Amino acid sequence: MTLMNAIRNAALAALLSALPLHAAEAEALPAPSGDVILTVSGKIGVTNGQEGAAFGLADLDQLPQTGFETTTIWTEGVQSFSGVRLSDMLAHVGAEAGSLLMTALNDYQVEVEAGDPLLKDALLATRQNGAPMSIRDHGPIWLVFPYDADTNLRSEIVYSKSIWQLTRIEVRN
Amino acid sequence: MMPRAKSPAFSTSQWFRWMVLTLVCISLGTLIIMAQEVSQELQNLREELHENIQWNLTQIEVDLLQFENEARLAGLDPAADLAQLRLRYDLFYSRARIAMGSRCLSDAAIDSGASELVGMLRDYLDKTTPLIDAGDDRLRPDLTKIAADARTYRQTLRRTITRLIQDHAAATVASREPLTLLMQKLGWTTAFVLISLITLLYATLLYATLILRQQSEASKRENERLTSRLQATVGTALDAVIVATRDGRILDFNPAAERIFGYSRSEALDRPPEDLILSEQTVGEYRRTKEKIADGVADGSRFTVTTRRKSGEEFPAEMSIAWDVSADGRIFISYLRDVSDQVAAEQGLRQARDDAVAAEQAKTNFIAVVSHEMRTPLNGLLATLDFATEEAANASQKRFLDLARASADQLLRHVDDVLELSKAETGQLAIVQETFDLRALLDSVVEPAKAKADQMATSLTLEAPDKLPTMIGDPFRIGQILNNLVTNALKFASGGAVAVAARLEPLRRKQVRLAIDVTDTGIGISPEDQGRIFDPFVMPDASYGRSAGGTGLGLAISRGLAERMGGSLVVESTPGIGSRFTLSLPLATGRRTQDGSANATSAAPVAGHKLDVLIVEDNLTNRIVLEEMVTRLGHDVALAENGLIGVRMAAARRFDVILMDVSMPEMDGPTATGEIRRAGASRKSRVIAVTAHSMPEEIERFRKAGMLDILTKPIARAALERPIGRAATGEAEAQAAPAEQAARPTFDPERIDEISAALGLDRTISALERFCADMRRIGARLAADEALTAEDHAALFHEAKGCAAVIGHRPLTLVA
Repeated sequence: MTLMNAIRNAALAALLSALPLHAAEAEALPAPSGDVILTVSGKIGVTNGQEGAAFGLADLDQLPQTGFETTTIWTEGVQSFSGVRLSDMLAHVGAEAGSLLMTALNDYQVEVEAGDPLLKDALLATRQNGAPMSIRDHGPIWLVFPYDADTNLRSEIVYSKSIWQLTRIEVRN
Repeated sequence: MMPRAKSPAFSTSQWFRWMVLTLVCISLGTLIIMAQEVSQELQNLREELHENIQWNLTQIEVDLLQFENEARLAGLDPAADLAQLRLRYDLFYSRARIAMGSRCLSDAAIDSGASELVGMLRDYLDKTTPLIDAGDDRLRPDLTKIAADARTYRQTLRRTITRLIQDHAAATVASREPLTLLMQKLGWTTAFVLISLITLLYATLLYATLILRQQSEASKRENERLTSRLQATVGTALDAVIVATRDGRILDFNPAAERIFGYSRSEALDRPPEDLILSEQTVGEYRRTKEKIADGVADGSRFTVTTRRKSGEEFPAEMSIAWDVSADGRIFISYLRDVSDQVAAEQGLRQARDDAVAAEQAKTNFIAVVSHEMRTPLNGLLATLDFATEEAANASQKRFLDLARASADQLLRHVDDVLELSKAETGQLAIVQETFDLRALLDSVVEPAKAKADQMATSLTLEAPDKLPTMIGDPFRIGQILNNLVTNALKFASGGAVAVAARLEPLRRKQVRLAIDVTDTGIGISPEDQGRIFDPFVMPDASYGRSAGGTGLGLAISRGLAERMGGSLVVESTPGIGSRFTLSLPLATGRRTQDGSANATSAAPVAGHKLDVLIVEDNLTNRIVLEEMVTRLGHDVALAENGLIGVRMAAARRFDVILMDVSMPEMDGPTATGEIRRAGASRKSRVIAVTAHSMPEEIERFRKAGMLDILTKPIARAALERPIGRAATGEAEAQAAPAEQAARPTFDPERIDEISAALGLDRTISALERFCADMRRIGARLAADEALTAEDHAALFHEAKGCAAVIGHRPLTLVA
């Protein structure tokens, strides 16, 4: 009996832990911790405030981390970037497929289609060479691509979408 | 010979081909290389390695302007929040960093301007950053100155950036130049290659068309030449050539056909050849042959048909048919040759041959008849001369009678020769197969001739191997040939030498080749005569006739005999030196198994038995001769003048022996014999045919009629003695037995007949007498001399055997 109970509890826990991903609309996210560095708004499934879903660096660090090494046209030598994959972020906030209007601190804006295959490996980088990035170093969030891995990524279109000092993503239809 | 250069046309076309190929390869290679270059350039363009530099540079100015504005505003308000100012500075800072690290600014084309800009930016950041990063209290007092500095700095920066952008634009244009040039080059090359290829293609097509046209022209000309040659050939052919369709419609009719058949070409066209030129009985064969040829089951071999002219005259023609396929479908080409002349010539030849054969037959018949007609009176003449000689009154009469007798003998010999030759020519020479002793045979020829050789002072030698096997053959015929050869040799080698040499070479088991050379040192025979001497009636030298006194038939008969025995008789001769005749015969060795010893025990003639003999003979002379001969043998004789009388007499009384002539008026011999055998007192009597007919098939006929023995005229006394004597020993009882078995006398009757025919009656008798004397002598020696050795016995036997072989005494010949 004890064994059966243990199995049942484990299954329940697994089910509950999976639930937030499929949670009903406007289910609350935990409140952002520390300074908000990224806000996702618009047509998203979960929020933690009026603006939409706001994240501090610690919140982003809680999300699945990934990274890659590449050179960029803006930097010297091979750089190591890590952070949250854009698609993971979109899934995390329950964003439907649509266009994304991304805005930088200097009001630079680019619009991309969420389903664009070029965005597959796009990374919301929070660290460069292991260290958080200041605004002077194009941080705190820089949308980067693994340019060295694919010639298609070495084009002006992708360069123009490599938005640094990213602060807001609006999910549109 | 030097190899000749290739023909110019071939060389040109080859050269052309290589040139085109090379050109196409070079063109395509160039295009491919250029396309690769362009592709690489395009890839470089697509793979942009730097950001939009104009945007970045102008953004530096914008960011600086925003910072300047923030600084100015914050300078006016002492309580202002400085976070916004700091953000603006950070943004400018990051932008400046980008510009300072940007790859495009390291581009050589804008190197001087870029390093100036980088220097300016570094100076500014180094000066301003510590101010911004200081605390708010320290920063506030400086804000007005910072704004003023930023303004000154911004104006300188603007000039630098403007110049940099202009330089960059120029550099960009310059960087595009290689691609533009490349594209232009590619364009021109492509155009050139395309034009070249199109030209080439056009030229090739033109060339090919030209060649094809030339070839077609040439083949057309060749066709025309062939056609005209064919037309000329067919037109001038001596044979009729008729071309017709399968369903029988004449398409062509050549001049020879017009001439042979009498139809003009226009008359013949479109008509069926069957109706036009073939006789009715030939149509079927023509159609069958045509279809067979069309089906491929027969070739175009020639066959003979009967054809018809326009005039209706029919004539034989030789025809051959071939087929071909034309626009009209399958066509048949018939070649016809008028062979009436040839057929007529063949018929003439055949007629001539038949005539010649008939003439030859007539000649043979004539000779047979003549010799028969001559032998009958000769028979009488010789017998009468014998009797006259015996009763001659004095020596003078006897000498005359001997002369007459010699002449008659010679005449008989000639007649016999002619008869023998005619037999040989018609293949009627009888050849026997019996065991004989070659040594004895050779002795029997050579020994008697020694006396004559001695007379002429000629040496006569015999040479033969010591060990001679017993052989099977016809010893009399061999002896006849050798006798002829030796006699001839002696005639021509007077005072010289004649050598007889025998040798044997084995052929296979129980088979040898016997070769006997008769060599003389005579006058020789000229080469041109060597081939002729074997022809009948040929005597190469006029002197031959005089000295030899022959008919010239001896060699012809000898060669005929040799060939009948499967051998040959040839001559080698050198005029003035001598001649060598070689008789060569294949002979079996050993002993004939059917030569039973029964023959050896045949009864010898027994004297003292008186027989009743009936002589049936129409010829008076012959009747008298036979009566005299039989009487002298000590028998009683009755006479009948013809068959009818003979039958009557034989029926009335039993005779022991009846001598029956064959050709008689009223009733001939065989018929009479049949009558006698049918019934009457003498139906079991021994009937002996007496005839000059010695053809084998007739002898067979006589035997069938019941004549158990046959005597050939002229009749020698000894020959007569034998069959009559046989009757005396009671052998007549055996008459129902087969004739062959009955006819086994001590002396071979055929041998005796042939000896008498060859030597003449006189010499035959003297030979027989000599034989008897020899036997007596040999017998006396064997009985009297007890000191004789085994070798002496053998020698004596050998001698006796040799003598017996010549005479045909069977028992002695068969003694081993």
